[in-house]
Amino acid sequence: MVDDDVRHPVLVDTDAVIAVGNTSLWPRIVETLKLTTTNVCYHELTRHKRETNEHARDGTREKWLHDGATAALDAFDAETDSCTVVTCVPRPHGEDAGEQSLRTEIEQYPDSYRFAILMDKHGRRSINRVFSQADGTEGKAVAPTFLLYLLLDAGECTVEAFCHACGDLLRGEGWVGYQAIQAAWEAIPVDCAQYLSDDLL
Amino acid sequence: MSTNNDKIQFRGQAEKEATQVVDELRLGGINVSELARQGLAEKLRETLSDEERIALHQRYNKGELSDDAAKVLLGDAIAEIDREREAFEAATELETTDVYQE
Repeated sequence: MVDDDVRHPVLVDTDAVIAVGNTSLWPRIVETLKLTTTNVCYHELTRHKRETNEHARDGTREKWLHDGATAALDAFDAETDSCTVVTCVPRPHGEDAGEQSLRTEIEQYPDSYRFAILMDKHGRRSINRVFSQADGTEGKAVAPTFLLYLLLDAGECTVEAFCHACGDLLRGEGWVGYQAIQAAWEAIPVDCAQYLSDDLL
Repeated sequence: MSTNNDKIQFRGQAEKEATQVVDELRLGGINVSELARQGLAEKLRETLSDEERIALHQRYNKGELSDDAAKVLLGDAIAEIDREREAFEAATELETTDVYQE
């Protein structure tokens, strides 16, 4: 784990990396983007990996958590400075400690971050308030689909690969993931209908 | 506007009795229709699975589901997707060159 307090403009929370960590584009994200998370999210990932069974049945939430956390930890444990873990002070506790730690980080270092990536819509809303209150910085909290978009926008993946990754996300994140995907498709805009089977839509 | 065609009727002896009891209990009575509408909408939303919600939203997108029915079944999800689309669009306008590895 690289804990050298390098702050990249993209700050990710636990649920967001679990979601994209489960997609076929995760290796590409790790090769291409620079990501930062907090020590609190890092420990949540470690806990998810430890407390879930790697042999859990495919399609279960447990399997989703285990695989996503494992993929994410591999990236943040690698000895590169493209995925970094920063220490959040004071350290929040409780159920939404990960999300809280992102908010604290952005409040303390508003100039360092431009994109906060969270799965939870309430979390995004609360961080968008922090971004809009910070003077002189522009930042947005968006859903994990934005990481896939960053690859697509830079030509680092095809539309087809992007759509398949959205399909992966849809499988694990259900209705919440669907709403994030719909919003992304309308915003980009991109039509994934030809790449995704009807039962997925 | 209400018409006779939008009337919902169902059987429920115990529920009817219970409704009458509460209606007599309150000075101004209770608005049974309003309670039933709210309760039914809530229960309909609750019974939907993720897959059904997704299928319904797809139908809404294709214009096969009215705004009113979509609002009952999907709650504020349609407005939520709109808000998220705006946030996403705003994010795509921001500088991204430094998010990539060299």
